Amino acid sequence: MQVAEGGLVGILGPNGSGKSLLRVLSGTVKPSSGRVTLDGADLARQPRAAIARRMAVVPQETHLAFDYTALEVVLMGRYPHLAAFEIEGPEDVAIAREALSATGTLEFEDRPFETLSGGEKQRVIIAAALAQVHPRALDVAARGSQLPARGAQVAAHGSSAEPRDATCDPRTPVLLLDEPTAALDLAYQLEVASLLRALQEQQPMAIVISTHDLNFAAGLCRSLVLLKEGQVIAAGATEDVLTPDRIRTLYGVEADVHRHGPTGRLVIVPTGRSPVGAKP
Amino acid sequence: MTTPLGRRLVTTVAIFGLMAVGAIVLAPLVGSTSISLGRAFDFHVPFADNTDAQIFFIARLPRTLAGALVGAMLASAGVVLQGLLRNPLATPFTLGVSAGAALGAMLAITFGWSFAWLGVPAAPAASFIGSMAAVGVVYALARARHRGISTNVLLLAGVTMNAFFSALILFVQYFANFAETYRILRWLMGDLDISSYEPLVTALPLAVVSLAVFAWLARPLNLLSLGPESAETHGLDVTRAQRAAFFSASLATGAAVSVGGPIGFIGIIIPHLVRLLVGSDHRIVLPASALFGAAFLIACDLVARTVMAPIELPVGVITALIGGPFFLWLLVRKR
Repeated sequence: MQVAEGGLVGILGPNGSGKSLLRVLSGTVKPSSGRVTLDGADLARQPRAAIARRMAVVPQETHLAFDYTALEVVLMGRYPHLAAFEIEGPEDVAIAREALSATGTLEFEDRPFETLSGGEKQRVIIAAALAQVHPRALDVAARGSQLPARGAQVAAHGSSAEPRDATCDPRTPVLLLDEPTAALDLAYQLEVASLLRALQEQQPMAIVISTHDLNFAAGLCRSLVLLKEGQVIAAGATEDVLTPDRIRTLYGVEADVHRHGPTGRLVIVPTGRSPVGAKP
Repeated sequence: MTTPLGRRLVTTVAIFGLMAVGAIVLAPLVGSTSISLGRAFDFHVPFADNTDAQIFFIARLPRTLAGALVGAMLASAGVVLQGLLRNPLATPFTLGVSAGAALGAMLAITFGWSFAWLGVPAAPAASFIGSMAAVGVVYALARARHRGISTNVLLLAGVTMNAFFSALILFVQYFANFAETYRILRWLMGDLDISSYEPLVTALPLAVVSLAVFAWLARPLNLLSLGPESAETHGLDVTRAQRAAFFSASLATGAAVSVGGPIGFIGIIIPHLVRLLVGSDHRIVLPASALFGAAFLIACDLVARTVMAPIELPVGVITALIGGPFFLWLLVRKR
């Protein structure tokens, strides 16, 4: 599996397998075999702060132990850029406010984070991620990495194409989003999708999203990785990967895949559970 | 827009610092014999002839400085434990850390241990080891339960630890003689009744080291409030930060308890008031809490030694009378 500049890759799979892969990609969990590389260099050998300067993670939900303002939360993103006792300077504040305005949350900068709605919080956290990777970051390539919990190959099938080394700008930021739309309403899902697309247009990034939402993934991601029990069952362009067969294999569910006329996007309509025998 | 952090820090430290210095200078003036600040600091009169200066510097200042040291240590240890465990109800007292430290100090006092450990005399050293043991148990509990420690578990763990250490303290007390028993009992209630600089000097190394670690910890504690995993993806070495927090909070509690006994609730009252006043950024909360804690405990001690004069109450009684209801109010308010 490889994510390049301008890439918007979705990870689909049941039971938190996408979440586990994100943890491996972010380096918070060490792969039990295989390796994750950033610009061709092994992630495990890089200092945490160096990784953080180029790669940010947006967790599914954020609960703060104490009340910080939205601006303070975004400024925490500047942590890896500062020395041990250094405090944020005017340019860090400027970067943070720029990130807030890019996610349409500048008006909340002085509001306590915990008073924001779920969608607003998520946008502030995305702003913190943007501020974190601001001086632009990279290319992630996870090769032959393995999910720790299940121990099966993640990229075994997917890497039939020879893994290439970083060919894009090594300063391309990497954003990992963990189920950004779970537990949020439809309007907000659309908002996140358009925000990510807009961010991608402003500045090319490498974005990886783990999600359970087939239609969200189909509408947003250019390519998909389908995971089951730690095994990659398909990887590639969204149109090629998202077929009724694969959905059956993945979830044990029968589904029709249509192309929606006006938008040209794929639409997945689940029609029922697969017969028991069809479940692999 | 929020004022830049540097300026906020200077303003906060100036205001709370003024409070602390004011308390240190004014508290020694009050007492059974009233003295004048002007005369105490009149250096034209030789010290041997200046009774005001003698009362100020020899009889009352050590106790005031003890209040400052203990208040600052307990308040900032409270902030650090709250950040480490991500729970605003964590404090050295309610977690049983003070009780652990008290057990250590009591062992040293009762059995008259006189060794020094790395230059630190027996009482503060044993007190530090006691608080380490208690924080270690709480921290292990928090780590074993991955998702962090809930308020329920935290409070139950604290109750258990307090009961456990109290039983051991009573057991040790059994070995002390009559005269010592009275002294120990008073000390266990939290008492700053010291009349020399010696306990302060012996506790000072622990206090200085813990303050240095706190200064480094301020920013990591901010990140930890996002949760350990997010803190890590922000570039923080989480394990190192947690260990530093664990170690320095134990040092600070050990230093405080070896001087004043397990004085309660400072670690929860002060950080909460400070957060209401200055927000949650630990780089401001930590220094402000240390200074405010110093001023607050000096004030409590002033009340303790004057309210029923000539009887002097242990200051722990005063802080408990204020802190107990305060803690309950926080519990009720916290959904």
